[in-house]
Amino acid sequence: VTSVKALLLLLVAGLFMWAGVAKALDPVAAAQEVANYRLVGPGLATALAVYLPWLEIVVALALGVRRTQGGALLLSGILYGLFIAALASAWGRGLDIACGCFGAGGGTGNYGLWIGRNLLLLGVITVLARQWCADRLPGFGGRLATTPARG
Amino acid sequence: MRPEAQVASGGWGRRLRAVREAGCLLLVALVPAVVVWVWHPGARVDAGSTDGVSVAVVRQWPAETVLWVDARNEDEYRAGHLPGALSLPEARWEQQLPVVLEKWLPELRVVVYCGGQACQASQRVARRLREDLGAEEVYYLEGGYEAWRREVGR
Repeated sequence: VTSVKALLLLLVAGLFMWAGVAKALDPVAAAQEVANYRLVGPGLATALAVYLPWLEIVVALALGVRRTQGGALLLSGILYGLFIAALASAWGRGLDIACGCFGAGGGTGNYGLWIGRNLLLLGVITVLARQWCADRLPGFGGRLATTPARG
Repeated sequence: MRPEAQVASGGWGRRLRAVREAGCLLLVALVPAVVVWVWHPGARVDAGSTDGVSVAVVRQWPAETVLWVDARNEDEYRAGHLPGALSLPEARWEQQLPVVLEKWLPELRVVVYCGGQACQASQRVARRLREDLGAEEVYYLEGGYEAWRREVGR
């Protein structure tokens, strides 16, 4: 069971790292992808495009360290929640845009697929967060509690 | 605090700790972001810096100074396009870019359009053209082909 949890953790961390690095390497393209959602102005889109990739990289690294897993899981959930809301909003407004999830490029308008994938990952994050609350999540540093949490 | 003691202190303690950790992670991510912001010259270029231009404005430009680029897919292009427009969908970038380069001159204004207000392909293609051609005067048509048909009627 621990190895399954470790694999799920690795999956989420790997996706965050991939997404973060892809966007950090091309902040100009990332800014355009953010601006395409038309939720924020160009200035804020540029700032978000510089900040979000690094946040994703930091979250990916923090997911592997027991001392910071709780905060990383909380941020992962919030970020995926925001991504899903942004995609749903763009879908609702009929925008023909690329996801921008893993940097520039890719097809446009596959909202069902993108939202479904993000919901699945949000589900995985929720499971991992519950395990973290019970102190049953593997990671570097520290050690697992021998007794489950109450409440 | 030992893990066993943390567990015993209940779930709320751990949740509060998670919030504190999240705050710290937000600050940690700020450090490389600020470094990139300061040192990466391209990072501060505003998104959407590829300029949009309205149909009314383009119509005031002499026709011979405008190179039209159609960012829609091939089927849409074949079904109807602006007079003289060259097809350059993102999916066929490598094949079609040489055709555009053949017609492009530095003194021309390049105007890229796609289907309508909702599509974003024209902005992406305009940005890529700016990068690949090194051209200053690359614009996307606001409202796209729909706006043109509505205002010009062809």
